[in-house]
Amino acid sequence: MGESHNKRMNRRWSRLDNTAKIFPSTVDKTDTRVFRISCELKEKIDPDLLQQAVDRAVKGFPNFLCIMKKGMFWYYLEQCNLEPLVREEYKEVCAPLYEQDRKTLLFEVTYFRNKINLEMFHVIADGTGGVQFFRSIVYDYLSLAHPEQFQEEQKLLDLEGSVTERASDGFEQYYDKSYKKKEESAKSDETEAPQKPLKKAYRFHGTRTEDDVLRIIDGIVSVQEVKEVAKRYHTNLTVFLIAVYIQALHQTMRIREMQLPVAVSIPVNLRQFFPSDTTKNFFGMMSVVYNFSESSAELPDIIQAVEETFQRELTKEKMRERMNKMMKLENILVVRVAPLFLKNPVLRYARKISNRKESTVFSNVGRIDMPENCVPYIQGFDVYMSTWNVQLTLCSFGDRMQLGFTSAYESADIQKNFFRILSSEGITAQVRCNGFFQEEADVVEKQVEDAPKPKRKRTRVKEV
Amino acid sequence: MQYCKKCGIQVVGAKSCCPLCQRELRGEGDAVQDIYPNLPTPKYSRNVLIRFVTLIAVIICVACVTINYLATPRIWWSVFVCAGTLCAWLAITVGISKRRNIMKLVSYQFILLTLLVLVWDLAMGFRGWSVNYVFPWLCLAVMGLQYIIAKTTKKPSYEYLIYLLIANAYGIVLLVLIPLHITTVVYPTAICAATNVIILTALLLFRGKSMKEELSRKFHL
Repeated sequence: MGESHNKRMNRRWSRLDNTAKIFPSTVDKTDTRVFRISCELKEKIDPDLLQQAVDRAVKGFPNFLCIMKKGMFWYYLEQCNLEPLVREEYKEVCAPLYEQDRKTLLFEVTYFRNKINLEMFHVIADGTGGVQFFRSIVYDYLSLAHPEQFQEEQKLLDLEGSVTERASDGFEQYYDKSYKKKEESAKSDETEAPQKPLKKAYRFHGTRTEDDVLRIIDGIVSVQEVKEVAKRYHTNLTVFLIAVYIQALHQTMRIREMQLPVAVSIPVNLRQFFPSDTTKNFFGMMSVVYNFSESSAELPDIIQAVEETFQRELTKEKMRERMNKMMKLENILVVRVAPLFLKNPVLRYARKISNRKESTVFSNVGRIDMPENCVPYIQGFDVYMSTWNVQLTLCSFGDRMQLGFTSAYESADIQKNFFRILSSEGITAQVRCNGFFQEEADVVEKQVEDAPKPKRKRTRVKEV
Repeated sequence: MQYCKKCGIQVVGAKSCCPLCQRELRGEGDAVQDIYPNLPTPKYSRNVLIRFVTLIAVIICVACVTINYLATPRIWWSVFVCAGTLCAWLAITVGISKRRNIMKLVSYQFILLTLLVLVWDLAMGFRGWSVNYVFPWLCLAVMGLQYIIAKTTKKPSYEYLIYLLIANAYGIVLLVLIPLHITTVVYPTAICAATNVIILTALLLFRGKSMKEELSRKFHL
């Protein structure tokens, strides 16, 4: 009886937040909505200690111990008694974590050699929330592995907020129903030059990877080096990298696609404008649009355009406007009362439409800080996000910046262009990649000749 | 460390060629530095069983129609075979896709069977055997099945409360068909509804709170 009582106690549930609501319906092949944060240590991982660390860390984030279920109108999260199980890395990066009718946690901790990985379903947390949890895991691991360094109390990890604050919903907290009626917003709309609504953005064409495995190529660069180059262009690091990314995309465009604008979507952490300690999703999207048929392909010009967009879009008012728009959409009665099986195809279609307006996503997770006593053991952090086409996710730790490309395509041309531009600016990247591709297969077969592709081409030419 | 002169990058781990431009790399690789395990390419064999079942169903239908057309073009008996195959196909595919949750599976089959039986009865001129006999007895059978599953799987009651409620609601809704004169043979429906009222009362008395919670979860807007 005691046990069943206990089970009932744990059966708390919560709604999905505004952003998360669209995620489960739109999960698709490589776009699994799973993100990964990794930490490379300078020592080999001890699985038992890692298990202990995860068990300890999860106590600070009990709302992550949940499963997702289907309701009549929406998905919801239900607290559960499942325990997170630490395993050696056994599947591809950002593989799906949710399967219908299967009771599994929506996050997973794995390890490989010196590396700890945390993979999370975007429904339960966003990058910031995930990083908070992951820092806690890494901190607990290091404190278990090196107890002598972690004795003084002031060296504790500075977790923000309480358990309930972490489980709160930032959108609900800051949603203002009466917002649109305010006059100032109407005024500001008038003074601004009317922007043409974007219908279709440039999108990279290529063969998708086999078996829907994400292709990972990431580069490690020095923050200082990138900052210096950015300074040479009189801009900051983020704007510089976005500009480089846009130029890299431009180099893959066909002539007839030049009239299409390149649109880079950038998730913006709303916590910087609306203080909240939530670990749930609390971000908004902004978009940098650059049209090569109207503007030059020179880096300084792109930088200027990106900077202007940042100044215009990255304001509290704009973010509030967008947040309210999204909340309004969710709160439309028809949307709410439509059963889930009707909602799913509609949401999928809506996502398809919005994908057309997006060339790629650039997501800056930012600097990941660790307490001083952890720093000597850590090599650096890596972040990856699943995507339906190509995405660049980056983070930094000390002077080590990771530029993580995830891609659903076989081709690595965008990445090649990106790192070559960086290299031409004097920034040398250390590139890593996962092994699911042609060159890796070659290694297995001990065939180092890089012939198969041109050969096929030649025979085809002959046939013609 | 390996490096690619053309791309101006260093390559971590041991790679056969540059991951960016597929050119030959210079320098010595070190496989120990690889940050990803060398995993076998994942093979997704999703829905293979459903595809097989679908193919078999199509074969049966096409074969029957062909034989029918060639051998006995005057009597279209194959229509019934096709309809029956379609029903079986529906039941099997629903069964496969909901196999992970047996209570859910039973409820889905329950509703599906109801619809199929209704369609059959209507297609054959609606003699009322579906509403008179099949629905009430089916409802009672499902409830018996649910009881057996609950006892054998020993799952906590909140896991399947919603499915019990579906069966209850079904049994009581059948009553409405009596005053509408759709149900003409009354006693099966009466037995079914009476059983349901008693069980529903018991559920309300002993699992009322859980039930309320479950309903608020499943039906939140």
